[in-house]
Amino acid sequence: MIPRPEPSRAPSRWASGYLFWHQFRNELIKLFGKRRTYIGFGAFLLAQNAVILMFRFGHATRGLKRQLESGGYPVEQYLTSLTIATQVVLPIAFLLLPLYAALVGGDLVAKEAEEGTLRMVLARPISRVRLLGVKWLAGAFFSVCLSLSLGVFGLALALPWFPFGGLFALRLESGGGFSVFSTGDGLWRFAFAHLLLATKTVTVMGLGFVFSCFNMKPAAATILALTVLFANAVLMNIPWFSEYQGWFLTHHLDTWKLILEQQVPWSEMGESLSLLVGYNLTFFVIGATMFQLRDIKS
Amino acid sequence: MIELRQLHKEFRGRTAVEALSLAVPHGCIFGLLGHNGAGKSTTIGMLLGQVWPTSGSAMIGGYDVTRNRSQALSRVGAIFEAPVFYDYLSGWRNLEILTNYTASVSRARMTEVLTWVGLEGRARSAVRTYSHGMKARLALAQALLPHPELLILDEPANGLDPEGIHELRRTIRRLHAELGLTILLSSHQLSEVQQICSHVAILDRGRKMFDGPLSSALAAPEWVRLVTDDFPRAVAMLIEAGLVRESAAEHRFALAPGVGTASVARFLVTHGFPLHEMTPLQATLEEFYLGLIQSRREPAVPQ
Repeated sequence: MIPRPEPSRAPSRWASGYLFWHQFRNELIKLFGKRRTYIGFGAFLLAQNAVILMFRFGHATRGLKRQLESGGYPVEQYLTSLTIATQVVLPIAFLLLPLYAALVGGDLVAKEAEEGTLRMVLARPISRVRLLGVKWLAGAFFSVCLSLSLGVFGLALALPWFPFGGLFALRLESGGGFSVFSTGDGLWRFAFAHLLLATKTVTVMGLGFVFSCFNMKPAAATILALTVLFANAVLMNIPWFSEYQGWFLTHHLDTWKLILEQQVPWSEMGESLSLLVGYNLTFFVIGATMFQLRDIKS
Repeated sequence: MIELRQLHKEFRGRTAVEALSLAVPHGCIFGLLGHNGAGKSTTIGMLLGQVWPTSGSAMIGGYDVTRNRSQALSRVGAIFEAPVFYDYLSGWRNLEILTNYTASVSRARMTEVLTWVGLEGRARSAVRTYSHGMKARLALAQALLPHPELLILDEPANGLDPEGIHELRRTIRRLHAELGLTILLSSHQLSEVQQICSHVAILDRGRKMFDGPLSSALAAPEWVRLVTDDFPRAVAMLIEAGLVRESAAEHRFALAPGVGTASVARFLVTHGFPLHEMTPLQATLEEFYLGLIQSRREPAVPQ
């Protein structure tokens, strides 16, 4: 025999906060319970391992050595696991990281709508904005984990092959140049770079999330997010648009690299980070508005 | 318990539900009937705040669902036609996740409900290993966990085998009897509805065709089975005399409004027809439903 219902009570603010924590935790369980969530982590392990082994057993370190020698820096002191892990993160952060962030962001709402669980969730007395809030937070948590794992995996995979020491950060962008840091300085910049990289991952995830809130398939949401990113990157690299760099999202997504400059341009970094916060808020508001206006049908 | 006032929904110019007004009394089992596309699921969607009405309002327990969603749905459990869960997670975890969208629930309460639906032994298994019937029971468990006063069942018998349907019918009766739940059952399985529901509403192409107690639906028209020597001639004469409205197969006819079987018997005997059998028949919901739908679809015959 099921007990009879208790009288209805309005939840207190404390109870509401407690429930929010539980809802956030449940979103994490849903997210990390899926196998496809781990594709990104697995791909990083494989890609980073492949690149590090190429550095170790191929001729990939020649360019680095030449740069170090031309600058008068001892190769054995700067051709380190920290340097290699930093070199590895650059191409992965450009290509793979946005791909997996957009994949997870595009899945967050659209996948549930496609599978039909969203209808079950929205039969509950939770507001749509609150539901999106916990989902976005779970996506942001995943993005931070993904960014930090890139650094941890990189360093862990490079350590068996290269000594621990200073950081030599070679710039891949036009203009080139490099920065050199002592072991301690290099280590905190490496760690801080990955924390800042999380702002890029969260923003790309947020872009996928916006499209996920529209009435579309999860794959379409991911592809649209990546299209916006790649279109931005292509336009940004056309010489005629060089004076409009600040208008492109991809320009601000690369803010994390500024921490690897010898003299960190803090004001430029602050400006870009503020803009990224603005982008994220805008994405969330657009997504929430579209989701709020939608009819959820079977 | 539920009150719909002129609830109207259009999808890109196509009317899905047309100015629907309906009241579901507290403590009844209410059947929402209609063919596929009649507007049942859209009505339930609007009732659960998942579909925005174009105009009108839906109230549950005195709260407007559109304006006061959390209060309106705080005592509502819902089950949809094909129960879908996070199949990579366990039944227990699914219940925990879904319940936390309403309020946190104790482990004892979850165990109690799982035992009641008969899933206590499989609660820790992944839902992907569940049969369709087990998923249906899990769906019932998630609907019961937040102590609902109103249970909304959208085509719950779809995909169930005859045993499953029998079990569902038994469960609905138990929930109504033991918990006093108000139950809104959307279905196109008329025999099921006739066996369970006390009130019905019939929708056709988004428009309400009937709304009221089941007994009033089954009362009219009054059908009678007649066995006599020349049934076609007898019925033709009865129709001519204005005592019978229409005849049907299997020696059945419908009495004209206000006419009783005694008048028909007197007429037949007077005109020399031997009466072997004359039995008043109880109309089925199916006959009532089909009669309503046909009367709307058949164009009027020009005089």
